Amino acid sequence: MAASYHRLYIFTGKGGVGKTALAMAFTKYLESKNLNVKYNCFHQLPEKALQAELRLPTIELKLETSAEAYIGRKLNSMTIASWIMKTSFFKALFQMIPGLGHMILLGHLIDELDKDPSLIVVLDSPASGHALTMFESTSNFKTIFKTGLVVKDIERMQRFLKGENNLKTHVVTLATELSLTEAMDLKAELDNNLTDTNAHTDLIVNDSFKKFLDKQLIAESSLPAFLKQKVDLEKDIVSKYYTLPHIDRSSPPQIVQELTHYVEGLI
Amino acid sequence: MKIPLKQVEIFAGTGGVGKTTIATARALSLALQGHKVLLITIDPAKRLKQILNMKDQDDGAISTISLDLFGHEKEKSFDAMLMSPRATLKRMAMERNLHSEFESDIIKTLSRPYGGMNEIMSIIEVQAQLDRNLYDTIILDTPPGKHFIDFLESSEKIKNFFDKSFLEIFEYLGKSISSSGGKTKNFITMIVSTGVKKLLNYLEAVTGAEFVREFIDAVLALYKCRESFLRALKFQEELKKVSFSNWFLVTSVEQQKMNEAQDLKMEASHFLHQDHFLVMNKCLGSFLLDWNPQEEALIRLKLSMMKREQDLQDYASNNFSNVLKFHEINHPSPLEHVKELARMFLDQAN
Repeated sequence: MAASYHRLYIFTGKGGVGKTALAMAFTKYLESKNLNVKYNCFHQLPEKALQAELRLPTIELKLETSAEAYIGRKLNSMTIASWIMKTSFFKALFQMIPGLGHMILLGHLIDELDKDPSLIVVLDSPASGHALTMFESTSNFKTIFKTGLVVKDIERMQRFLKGENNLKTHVVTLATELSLTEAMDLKAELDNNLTDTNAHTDLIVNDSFKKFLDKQLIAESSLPAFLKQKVDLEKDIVSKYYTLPHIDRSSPPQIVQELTHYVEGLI
Repeated sequence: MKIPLKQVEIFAGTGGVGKTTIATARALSLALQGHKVLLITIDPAKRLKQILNMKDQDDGAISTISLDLFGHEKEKSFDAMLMSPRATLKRMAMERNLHSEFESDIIKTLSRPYGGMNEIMSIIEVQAQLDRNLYDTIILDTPPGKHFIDFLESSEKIKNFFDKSFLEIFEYLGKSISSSGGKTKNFITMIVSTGVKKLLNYLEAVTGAEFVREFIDAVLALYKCRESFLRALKFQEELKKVSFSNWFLVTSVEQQKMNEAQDLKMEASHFLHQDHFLVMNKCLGSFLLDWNPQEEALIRLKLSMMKREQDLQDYASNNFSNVLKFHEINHPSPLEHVKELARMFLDQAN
């Protein structure tokens, strides 16, 4: 039976939970299934060396270029668009309203997905607050703009995000209570932003020592105290959510490669 | 290593490294030494908010935290504030009787917690708190990663935003500003020469006319508060002075984010002076050395964990002269983390 995939996967969560490694591993996994998949690092600085080493298929968008192309399409003139982008009015607009940039990037990605029905995009979203900005931005800007071409586009974006099997969001967390509480909060806020949609939001527990031990068939009794404590703190959490093991490697490309074996459940 | 007492301490980090917990521990350690401390935090974990008794309706208000919460004398305390862009903006508006101007959808949306004015408002808030002159040290916990750079650059943005020629045009265009006859003539000349009218026509096509009008009014409302914005620029200059600030760049062993940490250091280099510290959080070194696993899988695990820590250690000693190493704490309560980290701060500093 053919697995059913979503068109846009977003990996989000608090900083340091392993979003980037997971998003990259998931991209590599989908690629291994001969799917037309592209990884996008949104507006973070791309980790070029790691991407090259992994031969990761990527789609890179630059905010300025995206915005200029967007305005150019709206006004049917790239010259006017580039002129507008250079004015202090627009610079101020972008500086004061970072969410506007998020929305234009997201809009650009959705354009690409509309153009090529076989394309799947894995979006490595910036840390939690800013992923919320991205989702909030669509409704915020609808409130702000009220009418005009932008509102039509926002409605089109919202339609895409709502569509069946279009969007799946993974909120990544570590196997600690502190991290999980944060992730659950974020999930609740995302759900709140995506009510009445077919979009799915899942919690993914990453880097679990408990899972690592189970996988290696290691008895807890052979652990030193500091690891035993770590594992004890993980127990309640790991039993409830989809959990990925700690990877006993130290170089980032090896960690990503190893993770590809565990990400099938994220489709 | 002695950490000198300064008026401002900045905690920056790559996100998820325990930055807010460490900033809180630093506040506790200074308060224990009898200093008056204000901790301003931007995006604390919910559990930490709970232990510090920061309720959401208190956003932007200062709460006093007695040290008996941490098992110390209840006579001692420090103050803490959860940064709220909206509360800061509201205070600015009230000072100038600008209530109605700040009711616009645009300003309301922008000053939501994730609306995009976090960084600028934080600078203004710190400046306002410095002016109150109540504290020996104000500890600022900055937003993670790249947004820390946004934070630093926000004063540059303020300058651009209040670019004179740009604002004069808005002053003429705003519906709340009535222009006299003489000004109208200049106004038209200005519009023609700058091409702004044409620009606004294009913009209206994209965003709708009402947005353009409301945006102009929003800019004007902010413009009326420009003194607060411009005074906050002082803060950026002060930050560069070694007599004024300490910088802490927080990293964690469980993450391999040396590149990101290095980027932060580079980007912040024109702010940094000799008193900056690299904090290595969640070190396992001593635990790992005492551990002699027998099973092959555990030997491999130990080696990979030691390698990760060694890589960060190498990075730290090659790039920073002041390194603070804090060991990992395995405890479910963030309160215990703060207590233990404060103890480590006191040990390292004395």
